[in-house]
Amino acid sequence: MRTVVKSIRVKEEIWEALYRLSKEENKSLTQLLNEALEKYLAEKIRKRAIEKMQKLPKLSLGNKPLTREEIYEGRY
Amino acid sequence: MKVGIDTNVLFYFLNKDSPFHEDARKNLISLIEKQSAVITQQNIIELTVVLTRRGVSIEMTKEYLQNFIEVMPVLKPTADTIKIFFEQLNKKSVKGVKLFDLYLASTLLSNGVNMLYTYNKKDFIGIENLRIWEPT
Repeated sequence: MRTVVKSIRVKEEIWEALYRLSKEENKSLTQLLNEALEKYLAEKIRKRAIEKMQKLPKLSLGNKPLTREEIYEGRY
Repeated sequence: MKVGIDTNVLFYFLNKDSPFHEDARKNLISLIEKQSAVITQQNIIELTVVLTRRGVSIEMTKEYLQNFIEVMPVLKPTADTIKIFFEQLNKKSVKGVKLFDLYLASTLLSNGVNMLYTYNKKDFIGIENLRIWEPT
């Protein structure tokens, strides 16, 4: 992976926490940021999917309870 | 803790005519948000059968299923599934359509999931190591 040198402003405590974590986990800052970003994006996608699921049109299929007999018997 | 979701929960989640509809919606969303809900391949097939049999088009059925798959991990049978299935079969006198319940339970147990959310508690009573959650 190509790396670049950038200068960014971060709160000191965040920088210290990141630096400490990097030492403890023996991972580079790039690795830590990459993992955090992946987790954040996965969570964002999951939340969007949950919202989509809640908005799916509801079905009107009668009030008969569902049993496994209905699923597996009289198939033909 | 992971909780297996029975097909009837998925069905009642979608079916607004069911008396369990609101309950299933509330509970399933809550489990999904906590990342606790899991389904199996068997649930997907069963839901396909029941939706299409009750008149939902295959395209719509696929859309609903796709959405469930996006928010819940889908467990597959493992090498231990059939082993657990036979072990349970020796302890419990099960036959006919009930064997599908036992196979669903075996898939969950072989994946380390020992709780099932269902509205058909009686179908799963007596299956060793499986706890049932049926909201009342």
